[in-house]
Amino acid sequence: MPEFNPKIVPLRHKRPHRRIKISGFELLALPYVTVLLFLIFLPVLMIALYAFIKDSGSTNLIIFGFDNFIRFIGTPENIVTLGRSLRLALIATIICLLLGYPYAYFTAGSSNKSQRILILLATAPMWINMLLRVYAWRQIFDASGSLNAILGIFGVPEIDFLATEIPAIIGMVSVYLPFMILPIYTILRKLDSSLIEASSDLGARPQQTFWRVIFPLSIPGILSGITMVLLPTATTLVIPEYLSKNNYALIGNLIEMKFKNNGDWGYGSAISIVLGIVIMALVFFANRFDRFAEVEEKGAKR
Amino acid sequence: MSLTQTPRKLAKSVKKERRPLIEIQGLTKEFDGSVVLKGMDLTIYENEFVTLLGPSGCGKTTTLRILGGFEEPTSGKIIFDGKEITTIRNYDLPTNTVFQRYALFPHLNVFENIAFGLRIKQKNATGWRNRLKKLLKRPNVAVDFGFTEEIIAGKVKRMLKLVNLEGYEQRSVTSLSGGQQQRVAIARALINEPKVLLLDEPLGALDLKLRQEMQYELKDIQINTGITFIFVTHDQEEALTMSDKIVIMKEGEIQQVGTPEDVYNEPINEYVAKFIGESNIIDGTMLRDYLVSFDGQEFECVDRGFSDNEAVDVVIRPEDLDIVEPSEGLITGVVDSVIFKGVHFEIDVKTSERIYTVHTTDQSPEGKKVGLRFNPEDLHVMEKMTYAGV
Repeated sequence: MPEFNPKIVPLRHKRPHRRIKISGFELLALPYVTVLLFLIFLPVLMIALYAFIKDSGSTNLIIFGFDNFIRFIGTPENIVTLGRSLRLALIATIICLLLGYPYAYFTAGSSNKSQRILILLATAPMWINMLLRVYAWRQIFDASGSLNAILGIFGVPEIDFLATEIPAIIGMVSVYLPFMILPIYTILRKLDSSLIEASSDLGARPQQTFWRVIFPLSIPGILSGITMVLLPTATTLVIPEYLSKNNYALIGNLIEMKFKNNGDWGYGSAISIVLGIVIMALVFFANRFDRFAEVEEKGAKR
Repeated sequence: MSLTQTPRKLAKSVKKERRPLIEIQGLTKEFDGSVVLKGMDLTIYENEFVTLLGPSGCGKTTTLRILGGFEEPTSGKIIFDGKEITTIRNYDLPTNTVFQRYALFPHLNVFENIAFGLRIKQKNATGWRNRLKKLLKRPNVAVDFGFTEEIIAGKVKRMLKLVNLEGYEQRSVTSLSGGQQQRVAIARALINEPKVLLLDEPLGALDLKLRQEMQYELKDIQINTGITFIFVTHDQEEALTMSDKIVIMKEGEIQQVGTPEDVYNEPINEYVAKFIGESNIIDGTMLRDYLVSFDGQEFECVDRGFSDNEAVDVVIRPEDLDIVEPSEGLITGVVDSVIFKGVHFEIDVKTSERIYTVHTTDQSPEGKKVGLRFNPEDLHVMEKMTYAGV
């Protein structure tokens, strides 16, 4: 008996020790890790793999190369489409910011009851299917749509709105505006009112207080709003599909076309990756403006 | 009320020779139907360190916020330097505030936090409206448009020196300790050279040691700058240490205004006596001037002006009571409990009528028969309070 014990004890000692390390609080991260692995990491890896696979002419032979990327950059139309996508996304984001900031500011400054109503109003469109809303805009802007019908009353000749970028931009703004309002509203609501009082106490007029205290402190909210609008608008598929004619196809449509119509997965993946890199660069660039985020982090560390 | 005040009122009117800076007249404030201030009258003089003292909900912070222009009174007037300022917005007031939680701007460093007020002044002076105004007045004269960068830097440097934070210009305010943030807040307020500095429980968030240090520093700063300080606190020790004048408030009304010595030694009623420190408060009868009776005995005192045989409260501060041999005492009793408090012992002495609390540096064993002694000037006779509860 005494000879067995020393052998068993160290084993038992080790096992629970190791198990506690994994099975404790960290177990809660398991669902997230699973999602991360199967829904984000693996797909991205697959896209990356496809993007670098060269068309070898045979299904048995896999050759890696930059062919798809070279083909994308080498086609001026693609670059034009990418540029147009980013331009429309930027315009829509700026309009969202210009509309959303005052709305968020006004909401954060009203009474608790009004705040609830105003946020409800801002988010209410999100309850309705996006396709439906976009299609409704199409009905308005269509050549035989309601806008032309109304303008016709005043003798304005029929305008082909869908041939312009305007319906797409309006569609993007209407769909993604809540994503700009919410983060800005959240940060403005959290803003310590004594900072505003302090600024006023030091002689700043309300307008000066806004530009010197409130606005700089709301930059983190603006940045997350920009990220949350810029990313989906740059890659949107449905909006240009319904709210513009083919000559205004955006990068999302291009990717879709490569996958669906041409079956050219490698090329489509390459375009996705280029788009991803460009957006990442944009977001990174935007975050450089956020001096306050650094300060806040430092504060949080204390 | 007037009866008890007669001797003190005379003494105070002699002191009042300075110029009144702020006159608060009949200040009333209601929030959603509940009255927070009930017609407050107060005069504050130049270079005074005035403390508004009272428990939370007594209206002291509301008073300060009205003075700072953050709230408008429901009725009443505030006259500042001869001009009425009751409805003037806070950004136009010659007051600056040190907030309870400092309210430093987290996106600005120490230098820019302190320079904030000057930058606003600079901006206002160089703004197009002001330029236009000056240009129309004297088109040919080059005018000085406020502070240059050097002047601002110099002023900030001087302020940092005043609050002992030299070399901290570029630090982020969020990296500072509570005490350091407090100093930045004071510097930020003082750089505008206000006539009055309002301080809303500014030491509340600091630990005891730091709080005591800051009390002396604040007093020094007040003396050095000659600015009137209006300080709000619920801490009687803070009030006694720093103030020239203490205003004790309760439920929106002023109970007593006086120097720290006044309110400590001559509390006007039981509420003030209890709030301003530990006390033995005894029911008594004022037999006639200079003679009071309580616990079935008669004692000499220094108070006068009550009606004969008026019921009064008598206050004896614990440190004014001496424990002596039973034969030498004015009252005799038995030591009931002894608690060591660091600097002194807190000893409860049980007499036939009540328990007296005594603060003394000499220990007495529990159960010992002792006498209690006090001098006539240690008895503070007050009019009885008429309202319920304290």
